[in-house]
Amino acid sequence: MKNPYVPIEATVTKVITETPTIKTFCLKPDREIPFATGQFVEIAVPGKGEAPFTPSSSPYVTEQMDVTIMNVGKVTQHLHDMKGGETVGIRGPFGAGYPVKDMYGKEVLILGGGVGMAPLRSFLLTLLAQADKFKRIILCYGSRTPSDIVYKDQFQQWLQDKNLEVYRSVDKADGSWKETEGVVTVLVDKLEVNLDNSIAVVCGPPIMMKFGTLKLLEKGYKPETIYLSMEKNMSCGLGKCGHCQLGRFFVCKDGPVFTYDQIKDIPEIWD
Amino acid sequence: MAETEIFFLKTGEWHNFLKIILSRFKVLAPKQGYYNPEYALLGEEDSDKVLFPGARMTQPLKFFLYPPKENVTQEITPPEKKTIILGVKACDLKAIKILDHIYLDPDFIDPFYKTRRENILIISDDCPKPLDSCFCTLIGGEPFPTDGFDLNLSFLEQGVLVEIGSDKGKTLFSLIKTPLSKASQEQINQRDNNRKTVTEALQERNKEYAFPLEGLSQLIEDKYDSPEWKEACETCVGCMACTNICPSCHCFLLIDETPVAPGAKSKFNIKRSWDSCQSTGFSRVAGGANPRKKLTSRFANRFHCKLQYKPRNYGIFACTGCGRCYEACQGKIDVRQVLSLVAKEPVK
Repeated sequence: MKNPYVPIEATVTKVITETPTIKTFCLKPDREIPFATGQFVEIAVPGKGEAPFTPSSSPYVTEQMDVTIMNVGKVTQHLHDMKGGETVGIRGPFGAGYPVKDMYGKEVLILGGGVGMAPLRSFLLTLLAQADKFKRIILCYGSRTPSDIVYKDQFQQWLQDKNLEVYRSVDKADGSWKETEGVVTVLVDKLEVNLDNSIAVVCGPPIMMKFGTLKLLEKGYKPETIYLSMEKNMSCGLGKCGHCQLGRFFVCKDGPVFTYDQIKDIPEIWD
Repeated sequence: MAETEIFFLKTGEWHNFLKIILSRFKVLAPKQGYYNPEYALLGEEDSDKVLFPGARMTQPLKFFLYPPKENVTQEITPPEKKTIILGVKACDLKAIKILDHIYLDPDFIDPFYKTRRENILIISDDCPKPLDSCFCTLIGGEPFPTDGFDLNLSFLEQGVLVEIGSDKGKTLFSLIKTPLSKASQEQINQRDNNRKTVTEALQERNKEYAFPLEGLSQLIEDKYDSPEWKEACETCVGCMACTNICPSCHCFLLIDETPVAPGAKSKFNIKRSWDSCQSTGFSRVAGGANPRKKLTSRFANRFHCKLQYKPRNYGIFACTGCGRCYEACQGKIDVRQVLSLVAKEPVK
């Protein structure tokens, strides 16, 4: 009988420092772990514990998996202490990812904040691999300061990519910053989109998710066209342990991607 | 299983059957404990120690299906002998339905639960004497089993009615080699009368409590932020006894205790330990955000989960009316009173 609690071992092959608090870990699992973009995995640091992360790499790359992790807690601290060569465990993938096929032919707006760009990078790479299937791909990304921007090198490529429109903002600019200053929702204000054929995908810290969603609604996006990656305390990934309960849903199994329409009546979604 | 099959065993025949199962299976049965009757592992010579018939035990069945702490990265080995649990009540069976929905969810079958579930036979019986804390009839239940058992017993003066509830139960009952007599209509009427008497006594005892069964999920949803929750949990100390003793509470925490024992196959040693939505950090995420920081919201969550979310997902309340949480509560918080309080004022 299959035991969903046993992790697959993986080797940390490379650690990339993205910002002072965020690192990307390249993992090579003992056997391939196919996933759909937006699904998450549990990463176990042996003897220390597990935590949920959404892969930030393309689902088309199966021999390696990247996860971009902010140092915010016990498990992430242990991960951040790693230099490469260590063994971790991976369980998953879990949950429902982004319904990419439903987005074909549409104007797709990706609205990200801070480390919330991690799952969105995987999503964006999925879209760019089949860019002709979408009417338009727009990325609006906000971070606190220019040094807090993740994937700095990759952004340079994306800024040149003619299949993609990239807009960035920082809450607090420095002398070198030539793009927008302000919270990420400012970028949405400036956009011109065909609302009848648009969807938006949002991921970021809770406060940004809240105001990002409210801004999209104000702009005219319908609740069923706004996709949110919900961050809750997903622990088992199997819809059993209860930690990620969000109203009648288990985020690990019914999500982590929900439309705003699915969860808008649940009082605690932004907490 | 076709139509219901009910047989009658004379008291002596029943005792013989008990001896047969004690000799062939691992048997957990009600036995007088230090304070109260409790489930105990009985041996071949213990047939006279089985306390029958009695009310529900203090221990919920989840102890045997999903123990408080276990290694979930170890190999799964089915037991040599199947276990029979005796003395199971209708409320316990309802709780197992909830646990089955969670742990046997076809998307992710829990192999440990499944192995135990497959190796347990349940012999339930009609509740003869509900406890003061019991209120199954208030929450849509009845003090006698109608499904979910392998065998169900109804004790009559001259013997026992045995209802076959499953193929497993049928096979078990076929261990009786002597000719079987089907229950007579008169005996079934006698059983139904006993059931009616117990049901009515339970209803009478609980008549002071008032909350609607129909629309209860909606009421709980509409009262999400209602001030009654604060009033209801004034004596709650957050000890988590309610969720630990609850027969349908299924939440757990995974604890990584790697390194592994010598010779273990898995390189991980991950334990699953019962957890409680009443604990402060239950929903907290790594960044520190916590949707249920306040005791009131955690207290209310227990009711939302059992009476709103579970019925919406599975079509049944996850409160069985067993009253164990009230018995275990240091603050004497009684679900019957909480629901009466919450239902008292109309939704604003």
